[in-house]
Amino acid sequence: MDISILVSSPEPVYEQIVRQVQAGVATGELKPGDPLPTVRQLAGDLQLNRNTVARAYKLLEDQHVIQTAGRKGTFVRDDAFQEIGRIRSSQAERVMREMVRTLHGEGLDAAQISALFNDALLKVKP
Amino acid sequence: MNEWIDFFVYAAQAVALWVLFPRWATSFALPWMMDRNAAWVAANPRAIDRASPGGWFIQACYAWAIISILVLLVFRLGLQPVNLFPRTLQVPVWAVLMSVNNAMLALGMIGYASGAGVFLRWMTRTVPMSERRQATLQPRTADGLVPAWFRTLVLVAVGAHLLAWLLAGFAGYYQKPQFWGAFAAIHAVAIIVYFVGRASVLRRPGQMDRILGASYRRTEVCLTYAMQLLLVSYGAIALCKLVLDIDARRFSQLGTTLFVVIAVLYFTRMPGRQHGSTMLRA
Repeated sequence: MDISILVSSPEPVYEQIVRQVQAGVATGELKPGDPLPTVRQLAGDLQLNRNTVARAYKLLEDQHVIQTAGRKGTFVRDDAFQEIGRIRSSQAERVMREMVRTLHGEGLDAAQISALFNDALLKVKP
Repeated sequence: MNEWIDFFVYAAQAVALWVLFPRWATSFALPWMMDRNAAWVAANPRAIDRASPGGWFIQACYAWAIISILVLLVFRLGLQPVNLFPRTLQVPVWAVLMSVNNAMLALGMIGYASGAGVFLRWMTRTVPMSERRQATLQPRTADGLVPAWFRTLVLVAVGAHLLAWLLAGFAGYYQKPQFWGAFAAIHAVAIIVYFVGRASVLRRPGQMDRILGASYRRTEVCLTYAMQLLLVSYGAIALCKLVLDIDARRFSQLGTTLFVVIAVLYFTRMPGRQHGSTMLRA
């Protein structure tokens, strides 16, 4: 699997790496037990500072998506797919709460927000 | 051995290096530019003319191939001006051809490197670097790039070669005082080639990797392993010279030349041309 980053993007580079690894696991391109390149290799290939890639790997480790097994290298965790599901659920929940808070602030009540949400669900195709 | 064989081997090298290789390599000029910044190339179609094969550079390469073969032919037929090359009368024809080939090769390489340098300089100054960068999430190791049987073959050959030198050295089966110097030189080169192989595995992917895919790095790493085998054969020939006093320089030179020809033919079989023309059409 290949990843690509855009240096000039407003999204931090380490987050671009994290997002693409997560997407790889979610789509099945990265399977449980698949090895990942070393921090040195990935940093060299992307012409980045090693700390940037190390930060991305640390975040993925904290999210239980990957694990480092000493000198053997870094691997995708067996339960990575489920973890990605949990991460995405919590991210979606955060976005929803933020949106509801904003709409409440605009003076809409729960019934109006619910109606708007259902309407959007019907109109926006995945 | 007939010296015409030497002539044809060196002529084949001239064709491989100065006709086939430049034709193959220049077909990557446009893909290289597109890999650097496809949007820029699309917005500057006139730059494609600059990258099109068939310019002065490739014509100069073809001319050098013809000149090299003609010069080799002159020396093979003994038509060289003797007053300019008096030493050619004192050595056998195969040695003269070997020296002439090496001289033409060195001059050609200087010219080729200069031409490639001019293009690279133009490209890096003219085509801005894209801000998008790519990388694979697959770890790179020699195990994944070189077949196990080939790695084992090289390991056994290198081990046997080292053992043969050590045995000959410590048992005193050598007649020349420069034995240990030759031992050190050959194994120093072998160590350098080993590190070149490691660097080929670890190096950052370049334009050629993206254009040709994984086969490019695999070929490059396999070639460094093949070079170890070549060094083993060199070492065996040197050992013959030192222990048995048999001069096999001619055969080692012809062997290296054939290795170069085969390596060039192998590389030029990679689908660079089609890729370049496909990108051009797109």
